[in-house]
Amino acid sequence: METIVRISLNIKIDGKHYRAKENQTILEAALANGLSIPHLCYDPRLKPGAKCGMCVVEVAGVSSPVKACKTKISDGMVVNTSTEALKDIRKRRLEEMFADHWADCIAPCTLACPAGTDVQGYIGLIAQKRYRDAIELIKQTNPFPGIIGRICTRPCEDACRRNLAGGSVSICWLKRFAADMDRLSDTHFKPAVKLPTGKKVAIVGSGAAGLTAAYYLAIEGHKTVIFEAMPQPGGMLRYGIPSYRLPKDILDDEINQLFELGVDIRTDHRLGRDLTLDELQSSYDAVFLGLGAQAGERAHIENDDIKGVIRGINFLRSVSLQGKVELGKRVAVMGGGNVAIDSARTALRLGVEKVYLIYRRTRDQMPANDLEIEEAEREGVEFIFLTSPIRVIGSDRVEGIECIRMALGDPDASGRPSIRPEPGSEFVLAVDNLITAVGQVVTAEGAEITLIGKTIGINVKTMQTTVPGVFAAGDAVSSPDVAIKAVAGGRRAAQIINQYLLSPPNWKVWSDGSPEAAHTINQYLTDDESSGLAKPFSAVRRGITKEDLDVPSTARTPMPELKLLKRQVLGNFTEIELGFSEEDALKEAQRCLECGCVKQNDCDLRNLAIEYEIEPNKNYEAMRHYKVDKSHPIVLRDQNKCIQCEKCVQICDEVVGVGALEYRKAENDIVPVGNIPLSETKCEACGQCISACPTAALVENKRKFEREFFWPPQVTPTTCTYCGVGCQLELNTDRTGKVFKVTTEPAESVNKGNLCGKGRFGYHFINHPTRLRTPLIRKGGGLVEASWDEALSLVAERFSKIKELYGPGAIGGRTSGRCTNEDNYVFQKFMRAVIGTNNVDNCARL
Amino acid sequence: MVGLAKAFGSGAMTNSIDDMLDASVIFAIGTNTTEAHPIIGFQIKKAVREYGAKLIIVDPRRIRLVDFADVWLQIKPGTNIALLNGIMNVILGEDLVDHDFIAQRTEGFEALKAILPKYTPDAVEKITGVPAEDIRKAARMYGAADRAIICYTLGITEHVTGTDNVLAIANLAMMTGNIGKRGAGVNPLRGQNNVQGACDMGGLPNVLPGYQRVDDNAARAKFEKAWGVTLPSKPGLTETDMMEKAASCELKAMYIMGENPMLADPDTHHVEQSLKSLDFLVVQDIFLTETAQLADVVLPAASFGEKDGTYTNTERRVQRIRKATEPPGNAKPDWQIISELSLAMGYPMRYNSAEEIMEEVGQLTPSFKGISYARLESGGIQWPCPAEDHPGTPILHTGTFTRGRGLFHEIEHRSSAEEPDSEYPLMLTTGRNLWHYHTRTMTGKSEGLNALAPHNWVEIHPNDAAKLGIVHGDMVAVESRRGRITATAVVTDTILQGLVSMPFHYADSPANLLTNRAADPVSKTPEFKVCAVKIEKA
Ligand code: SF4
Ligand code: SF4
Ligand code: SF4
Ligand code: SF4
Ligand code: FES
Repeated sequence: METIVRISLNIKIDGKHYRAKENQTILEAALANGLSIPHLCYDPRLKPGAKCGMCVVEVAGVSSPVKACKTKISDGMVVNTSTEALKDIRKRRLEEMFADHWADCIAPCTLACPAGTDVQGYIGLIAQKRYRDAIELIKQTNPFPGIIGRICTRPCEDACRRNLAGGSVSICWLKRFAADMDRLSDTHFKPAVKLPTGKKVAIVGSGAAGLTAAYYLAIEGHKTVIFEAMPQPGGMLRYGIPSYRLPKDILDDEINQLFELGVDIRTDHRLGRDLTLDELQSSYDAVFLGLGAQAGERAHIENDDIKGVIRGINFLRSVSLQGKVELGKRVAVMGGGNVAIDSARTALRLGVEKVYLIYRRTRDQMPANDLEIEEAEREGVEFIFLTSPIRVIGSDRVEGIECIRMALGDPDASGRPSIRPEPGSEFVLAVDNLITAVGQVVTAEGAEITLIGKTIGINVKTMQTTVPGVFAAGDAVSSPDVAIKAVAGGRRAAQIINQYLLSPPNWKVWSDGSPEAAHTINQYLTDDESSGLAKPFSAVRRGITKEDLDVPSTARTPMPELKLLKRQVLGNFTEIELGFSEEDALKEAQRCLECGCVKQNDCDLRNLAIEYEIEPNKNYEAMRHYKVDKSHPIVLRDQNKCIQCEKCVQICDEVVGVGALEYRKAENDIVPVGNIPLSETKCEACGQCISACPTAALVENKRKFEREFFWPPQVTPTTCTYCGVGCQLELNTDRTGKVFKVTTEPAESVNKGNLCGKGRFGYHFINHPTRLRTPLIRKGGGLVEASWDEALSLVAERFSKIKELYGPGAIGGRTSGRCTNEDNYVFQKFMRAVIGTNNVDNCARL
Repeated sequence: MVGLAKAFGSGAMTNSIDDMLDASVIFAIGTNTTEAHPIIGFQIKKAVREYGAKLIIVDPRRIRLVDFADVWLQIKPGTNIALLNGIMNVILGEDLVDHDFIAQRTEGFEALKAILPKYTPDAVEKITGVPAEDIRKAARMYGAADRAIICYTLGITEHVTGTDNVLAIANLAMMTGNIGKRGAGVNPLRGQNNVQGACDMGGLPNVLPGYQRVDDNAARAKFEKAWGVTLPSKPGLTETDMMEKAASCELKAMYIMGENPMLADPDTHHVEQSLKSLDFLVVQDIFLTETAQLADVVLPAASFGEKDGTYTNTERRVQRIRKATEPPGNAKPDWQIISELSLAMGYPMRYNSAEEIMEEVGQLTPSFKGISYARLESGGIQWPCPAEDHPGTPILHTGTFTRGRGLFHEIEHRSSAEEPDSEYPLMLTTGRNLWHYHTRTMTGKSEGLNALAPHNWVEIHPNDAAKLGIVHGDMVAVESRRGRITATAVVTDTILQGLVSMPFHYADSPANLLTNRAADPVSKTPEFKVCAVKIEKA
């Protein structure tokens, strides 16, 4: 070898001059100069395979792009690495790869969560019994897991893959479990608050959106004040959701955490009555409007303005405020959403003898939660489907309602069957009250801002209203929606307000250019935009079947409930769902299939997909579908994620010298040589292929949940503790201090980024439960636990005694090639200087 | 590593792992490198395949590296010296000797020369079982190379004749001038992460840190001054001696740190008897090992992931280890436990960190003078490193040998302490496997590694198996004069007829129950590699 690096050459990359060593490739020269050129198949340990095509660059004087990983530099070479043409080539290559990538980067549950909560992550943390950490992870996106864990409509559960094998994981109940555990713990999670910034933010409205925005703004160090019209904070959470679903103490506790963060809440302050937007603007650096949509819509049926007709939302609010509302013996509720169900069940609890729920469509089409519907049925609410009230009967108060039957017709634009009244089917229902729950609207009195229809208009990129410095989110922007969307909107607004406060507004960063664009309000909001959160890039395993999952079906762990029969409902507002026991939760967490990719945070391929803004490919039928191969005890193979870069084949041959993997051209596949199970090949289980793979096609075959869910993990460079080669490696530890992975950096070191199986996979002993934790002393034949003081004074006393009786030569010490130099040095010093003998030896020969 | 110290004046690997790529011939004797030192295995394969090096393997088993070898000398265990002398016989006969090197840098060649004539290839074939032609081929290959590197491990040292084996290797290297240059040298590959460091730090009965002899008054005086005590000048007991003296009740107490002699030492029954004869046994470890279970006091230590410090690798490279997590429960780093014990015995050692210890090492040890944690931040340093601005020493003995001139020794072939006989007709060698390490206290905790090699096995040649009516996969009993264990039979023609081989990692089937504690008279390394056994179906 003894390569003498003769001269260094001059090259120009993207307009700047650099020096590089002769014989380097363009890519090596760029990397050595701290520049990066995209690459997937380059590895300093391997000969250039030049398979992926990502490293293309333009070289002056060369007509077509060249691969930087295999093109040697020459003196005076001029290289361009990121022209539009090159970006296009790379983008097309990435798209090709994703056209055959049947895999999930992010778990479907996480993708489905409007707030983007890392569902898979917190389930994993619960499975590891790290409840506080689970709450910390949840609170990165949702500060109110105890509330949301009780009332969410659970889009995550609809998306959950477990639906194919026994029903979705009880995600929401797990979240609630973690929240309850954390709530009761002495060391419950408190976010770190940054140093005060000196900026002040006013938040109008203390519903889910306002509270969330306040939480995240306070963490950023801004002085945050909430103005609430009602006597107590919470908005719809307090006044729209009955306490048998969301107990007030849970609500209070989660709101109280804001006080710990220094948030001020001023209740009985109504915008337009007690304060104006102008006033707020003059004393605060930014204003956030989280007004909600709390005014019940009128049902528009004949004679609906007489006594005894109540809007659902007003009904619930009054019950909440006064504990009671006078009703007759028979009540009809009109509507199919959660407010309708809540009103019906609340009416029962107030002593109403007969509660009807009238809905114009079928049960399947009810927007309310299935579970809530079931509960209402069990409690005795009588459902009347495919029916619409058309007229209220009575002159000064309600005596009954006239209804008409509805018939189903052809599907409408949204795909739902249309409905039309069936003439002649009218009938009369004798009731004393009619509660209408047909929707809510925003009331933005006191704010001179532009509405679009019934909601506040904002720019979806800046979340700003037509008034500069005034932002909005939540139901007031999206029209009534689920609480978790308001949470998502509140957080997004907080992020933007934070940027707005910290740096002079450079609207270009988030809008499409001109300052005016920041205030241009968008007419139509898509579902994702209403929360304002951009979805992360993720490949998706569409079209998956039960067979693909390859797991046995297991049933959902049932939620322990307060079972209420009809007669027991009266006056009973205690929480119905009692919450999982720890045993239930751990069992349920095990049902999680860990759908999201283990490499989602450090996948070279995904990182490039994000950088090049690739759209996930939806054409799953054209993708190859493979079964994940877990047959080898160490190496897990998931060919769905393979991009055929052949690095694994190369490293196993070129570096390891084993050649256990091969590329089959005809099938464009990587397989163990001979297409037999890897464990039957010559594979040495070194894991070198795993270290080379740019994706998660080859990963360590681990137990479920054996990973860290916070990113990045703590990485400690150190030396291997096994053989005498002394390979350099990195221990990856999770928050609890558990070493869960060993990695390497291909650098100038004795092993150059290579490791053997022991070094790479032999780390489990570190946190093993059988490690010695405390000194032991032999007593009465057995070893019993002792304190350091006891143990050391015993040893000191015995050694001294023996030395005194028989001389220092009667004591021998065995030091160790397992311990450090420092340990060994101190050991021999002890033997020689303290005991006074040279009887010290080690296993050098063993 | 006594042999090398006698011949060269230093017992360490003379060259570096990277040197493999510069060698034109690699001579690997008694090292199943791909299993024991996989990364060096990678390096050897690379040297052979990409850098055109020739590879000579000496091993009774068809180890994986044989696939890459130009010559494979399938030797009968215990006959290394005969083979090496045979090779030297050919080199001498064909005048592949480096006369200048011998004249300028060595002494004692004439005496060696005198004993070689009788080791003709044909005579050696009879002793070793290696065809005479292969011996000649290997000799010419090694002798003609301008840079030839020798690597060896336990296969060489774990013999009654271990020291002699090493001296014979040193003879071969010096005779051909393969010392003191890149791509050459004599390189003992260390089995454990820090055996090198344990020796460097004075974990030996005859030397203080940095191989400063205990009977060297000046050296001792330096340490006495620094430590403020009077130090004993008489060399202490080796560990083999300690075991003997424990058994005979002359040694009363032992302090064992980080070792598990109950599995690692030969002749487990004897070890157990020795340890039980002690009045007082202290074991300091990270697990309750078989040895710790016999202790009077067990002290819980931090593992490498839980403390700062340094290891010295096989090529004398001092490298950092860093704390990645907290020790479990009340466990503490070894150095801290020892310091506290020392204090309890009235001698305070006031170290606040591992770094402070290394500073003291540097002050008292010339070869470590230039090594500091600050410098180690930018990578390991190979000792000797006598000054802050010294880059470290990748190759030893470049100008002169550590002892001045290299010393040849006349080494004659002797038979193993225990040869097979009619009662115990097979020879057993013990070794390591790729996935387990030493006594498995650590690798045994990884499910994946365990699944790869969960139980002990014994490799046996098909002809021997047939004679005994054993088929692949049978449970068999392996018995020696010292004990009996069971294992699964692996019938394979990669092993020499008459020989069986077992890994020594398994506590439930400890191969060292069978091995012989007859030790090399000089180095006291016990004879692990060879003992006589019989096998029958269990
Ligand atoms: S390998 Fe990468 S791109 Fe593929 S699913 Fe995993 S994270 Fe996504
Ligand atoms: S684990 Fe090692 S030997 Fe096995 S296939 Fe991967 S690189 Fe090859
Ligand atoms: S499995 Fe091999 S070919 Fe496929 S992406 Fe990983 S390294 Fe590349
Ligand atoms: S990784 Fe393997 S080869 Fe490297 S030091 Fe550790 S045990 Fe040795
Ligand atoms: S990095 Fe150059 S082609 Fe893959």
